[in-house]
Amino acid sequence: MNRTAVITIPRIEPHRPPAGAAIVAKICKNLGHNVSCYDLNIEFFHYCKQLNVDYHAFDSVWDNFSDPTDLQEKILTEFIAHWSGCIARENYDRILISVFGVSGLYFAERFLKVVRPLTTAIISAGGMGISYVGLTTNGQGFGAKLRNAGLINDYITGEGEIVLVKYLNGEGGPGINNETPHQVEDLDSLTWPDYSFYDLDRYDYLTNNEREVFITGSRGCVRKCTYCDIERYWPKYRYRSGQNIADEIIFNYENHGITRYYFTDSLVNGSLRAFRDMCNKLAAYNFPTPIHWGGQYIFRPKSALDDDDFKMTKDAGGDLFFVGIETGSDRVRFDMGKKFTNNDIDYQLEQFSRNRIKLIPLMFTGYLTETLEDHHETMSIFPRWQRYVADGTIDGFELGSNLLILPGAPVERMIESHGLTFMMDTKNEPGLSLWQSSLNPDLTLRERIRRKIELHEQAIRYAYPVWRQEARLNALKQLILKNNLHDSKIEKKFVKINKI
Amino acid sequence: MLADQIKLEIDLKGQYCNHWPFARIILNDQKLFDGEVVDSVNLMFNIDAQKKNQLLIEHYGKQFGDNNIYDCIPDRGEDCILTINDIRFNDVTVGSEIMSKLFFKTIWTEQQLQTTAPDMLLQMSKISCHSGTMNFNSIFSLEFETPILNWLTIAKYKQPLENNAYFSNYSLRWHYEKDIELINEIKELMKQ
Repeated sequence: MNRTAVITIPRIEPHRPPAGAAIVAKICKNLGHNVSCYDLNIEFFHYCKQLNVDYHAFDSVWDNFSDPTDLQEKILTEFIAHWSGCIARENYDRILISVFGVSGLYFAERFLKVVRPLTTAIISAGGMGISYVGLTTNGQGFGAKLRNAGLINDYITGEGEIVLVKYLNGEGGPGINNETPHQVEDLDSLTWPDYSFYDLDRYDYLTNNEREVFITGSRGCVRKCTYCDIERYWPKYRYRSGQNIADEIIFNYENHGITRYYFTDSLVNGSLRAFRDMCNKLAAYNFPTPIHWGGQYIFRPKSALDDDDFKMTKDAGGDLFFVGIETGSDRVRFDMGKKFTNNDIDYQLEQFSRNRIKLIPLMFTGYLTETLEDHHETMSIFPRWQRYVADGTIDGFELGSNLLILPGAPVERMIESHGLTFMMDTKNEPGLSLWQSSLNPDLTLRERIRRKIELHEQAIRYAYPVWRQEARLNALKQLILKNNLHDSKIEKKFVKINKI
Repeated sequence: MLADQIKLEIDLKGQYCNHWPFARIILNDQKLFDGEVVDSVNLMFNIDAQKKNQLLIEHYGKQFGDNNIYDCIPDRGEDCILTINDIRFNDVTVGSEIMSKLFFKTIWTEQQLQTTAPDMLLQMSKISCHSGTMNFNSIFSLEFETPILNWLTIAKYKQPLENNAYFSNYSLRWHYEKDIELINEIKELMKQ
């Protein structure tokens, strides 16, 4: 029997057990492996706590904003040495490491450099971070970089559920040691995460120690918002049936006492039919302790909705949603590919308020086609919707960074039609946020910064619950300083490119 | 200074015993209402609010043995009670978030002062407003500011800072100090 270790690494949020690794562990178990799971992220969280060191202060290290301080370096080195030793001593046949995203790259590389020489196990890596291509990987995928460096034997890209089975059975193909991610068609047929591999009492739950886990109802996105690069990772939108999602929630409630769920979906209500079906099933189930769930949610035109939708959502336990409103200009929102208006938002805010459902609007300023008039329309939403802040419906307010021209996003294909040129950044590469459009010449870099700051001040003026802004403002300040955006005397070099 | 026009709504409920409870509502020393509260009433006022304001709601006229009259008959489960069901400014409730932080100040009658044990007098001089129920003659005082929606938001939801999460630290909301500092730094930079 194969002895297999499934490892999760920092940084992921410490507030819920890792869903991806819990699926991988279950798949290995189903194949007859003897599986042990290590959540080194939550171990690191507790290790920091034990040493009275700020776990969250490591974020700038994971995000590559700064090198570790001397103390952080010492802690990291000791932690990695300890767990590498522990895992190596177990003589596993296989080690599967889950790199959740870009924020896992730093730890993954350091950890693998230590553990690789200590073990003869076959080491494989998967997760979204493995597909990352960027400056730190010299243009190759992160998985390929690790493999070429001899730190892992193999890597898996894309959705691993089916590919992992093939891989563990010795097969090759799309998704195995290549950048051709495999997409699963029938999500209902997939294995659910098995949280019995984890000590659910060790997590830093956000709500009064109420157990909370991730749940995935769909992959990909029903919308094609121009600024979003999701289609690069998940070209096709697929979703589970409402019954199947409700069954997983009920299973976790009955077996693990889990009462909170966070949907990883791009849009929890992407398929209105599946969403309504799930809500009906959950509302009808007799949970002795009420459940709660939330995730990213799309506003729709009022004509597509019914007042009952909101009551049903609340009755089913839905109570907090992140909603991409993006701008106060209907025209710009339509340009982005979002097909709802401020009047539609009025209706949905009122319905959320009546049914005591909370939301966190997601906003950003300086879209390709935004004019000064559009910006003023965005400024006007703050007084317009302030009563929903005061009554608690708007529970948070996320002011995102300025528009990035992301590789694989529809905006990348608009470079030519919008006459985009890019300023060379400090690494002498075209900056993803340092663009300028010949079709909208007034929207200069300086003007985008000005509008972002003005929007932020407007949010404060109307007591909006902005959060997570310190890091964003610091990043903006660094962007300004590093690229001399504040100094108009220094000439900026813009280049024309066709593709990011 | 210009006053803010605000719609103020107060939902009161009276419970009868010998008579309906008497209520007096005063805003910034100006009487808005004085009279019996019969069953449930929704009182609506368009007020001119200043930067700082005080709203008083008084339950008065309940007798605790004065002239041998008791406006409560425990054996029959009857009691003269005034309840503040809700207070709304521009359609937004003050909610339990604010009510639970406030206290009714009891106005003792002569008879109560003579017949009630000192420790009870002390204990019942300040009663939580959480349920809105004024069993005794008492005064409710709410100090509020304008802009009213800003005041409501901060008073209801702003919490002391906690270092409990990075991505989802809800306690950071409405703590704008660091944001303002960084905004000013960026504005200063961009002046160049």
